[in-house]
Amino acid sequence: MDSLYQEIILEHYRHPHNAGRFSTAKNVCSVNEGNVGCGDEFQVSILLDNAKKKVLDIKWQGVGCAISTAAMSVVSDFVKNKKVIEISALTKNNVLELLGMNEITLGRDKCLMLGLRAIQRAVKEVSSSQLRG
Amino acid sequence: MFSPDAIKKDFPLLQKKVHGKPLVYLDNAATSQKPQQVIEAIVNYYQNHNANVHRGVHQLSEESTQVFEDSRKIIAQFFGANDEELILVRNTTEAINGIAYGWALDHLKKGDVILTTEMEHHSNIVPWQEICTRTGAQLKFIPVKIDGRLDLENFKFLISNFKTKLLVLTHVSNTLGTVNPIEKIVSVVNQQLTTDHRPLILLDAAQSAPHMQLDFHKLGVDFLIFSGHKMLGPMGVGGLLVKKTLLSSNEVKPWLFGGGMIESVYMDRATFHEDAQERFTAGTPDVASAVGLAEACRYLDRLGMKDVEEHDRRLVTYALDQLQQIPEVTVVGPIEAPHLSDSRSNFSPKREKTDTDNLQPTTYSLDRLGSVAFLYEGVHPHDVAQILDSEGIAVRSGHHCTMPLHVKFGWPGTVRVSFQVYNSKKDVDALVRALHKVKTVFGR
Repeated sequence: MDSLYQEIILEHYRHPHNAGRFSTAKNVCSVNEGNVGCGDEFQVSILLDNAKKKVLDIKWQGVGCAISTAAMSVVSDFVKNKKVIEISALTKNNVLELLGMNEITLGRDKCLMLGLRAIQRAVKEVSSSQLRG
Repeated sequence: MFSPDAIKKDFPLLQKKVHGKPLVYLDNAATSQKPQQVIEAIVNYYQNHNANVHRGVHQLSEESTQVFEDSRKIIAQFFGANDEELILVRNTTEAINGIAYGWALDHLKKGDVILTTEMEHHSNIVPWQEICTRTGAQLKFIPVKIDGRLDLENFKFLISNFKTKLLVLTHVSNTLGTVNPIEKIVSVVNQQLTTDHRPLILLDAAQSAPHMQLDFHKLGVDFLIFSGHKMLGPMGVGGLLVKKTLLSSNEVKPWLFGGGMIESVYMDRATFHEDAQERFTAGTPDVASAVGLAEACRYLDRLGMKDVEEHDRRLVTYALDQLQQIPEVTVVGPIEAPHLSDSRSNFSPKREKTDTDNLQPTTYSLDRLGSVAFLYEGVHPHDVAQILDSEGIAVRSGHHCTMPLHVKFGWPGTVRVSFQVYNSKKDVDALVRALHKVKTVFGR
């Protein structure tokens, strides 16, 4: 348990990176993703380059536990300047690695994955959708 | 009064250690643990009496049928009901769906209203949303006030201004712990003369049956439902009590068809069993679970449901006192007796005197049982629950299947502790000690 709440998790939980929203809607794709039953919900907005192949910046807002918030924070740092195709290929192991963890209990798996799921959904919508601008 | 410490010895799983610490099980509103007596009754059934029930002439089949019938009688008696009023189902959810498909689908139409409350479990909302979609009826909600109680003024308005055909509500909230004033609610429903027939009432007793003596006939409701596994019985068995007249008049129809429930079958038609309990038992029933539930009823009867209720009240009161001393904790639901928190909660001023008179015996006790849910400032409920788990304390966190209630009050989720007969003040003390660890971990 004490190993679950490592300093990296507590630090990102207290001071999450990339929290907030964009002032522009141009080249931005936003999605909401939640964990039903937990009450966790994030809105993720990604800013893409003109070719819509690469994530230039990312903002998110919402309510989550320490695990989902910290995971969202580190993953949102990681995806900046990454190609859409690279982001789509990210897995649970990548998230664990970013948090310096080896594993997560079954009950907290969905907390760990909420952020990445939201980002990947946003990215997927980009590749199949009509973005403004 | 029984001793919870002595009772604990009957529950093998409570001897377990979790993360090297003694298990403190405070997730009873989700499911209770099972005493050795219940476990043995189930094993005994399979070891000594197992055979399919009914219509068998061989010895084992007769034994099994007898054991099943006896179990049904014990369960019905526990709820002050007649044997023929009891339909065994898997759980409360299935019971609600039974009434939805066996009654509501045929009896509701556009313009009709199903009245429910904002504190319901999803299982008492979603089936009715589905019925409304199919019939054109409308689902309306009695609001929950900030003190965790139903807005009874609003209830009176809703029931007298809309064509309410069915009122579905919980007896005890699984999140707020509120005990709804059923007597009062039933009397308001009985005064409704505007509709062509009095609205039927479905009472969800999933959270009250484990803690209160219930008398189906005295309650005056048409349907009463419960889950065996929350009252020391096994998973997979629950009950639906239906007023006898609704069964004999065929107003409530079977929703499952097949073997066991028929009288005769031809290629082009079938006739159904006259006997209600047979008519509503399609397919092989879960005999062993019925046996287990009957044993759980016996166990609770031996403790005495009056004492079980008193024990739970004391624990809830103690937990409220202790939790409220932690500055970071905010308890949801009623925290003081009704006469202290809201003198206006009892209907209109002109009826106040009568209502107060009726309420005399209970006015000064807090109208809550079973569950105490709370928020911990700055720490998400999951994280609180995780840290409590590391201290061997099992609690629940999240929505507890009451998402509309959480959304209404803007709670991202809550941490819920809930009690059973084997819990003691020591368990609450352990909880409070463990909550201090939350501060240590997150307050750095």
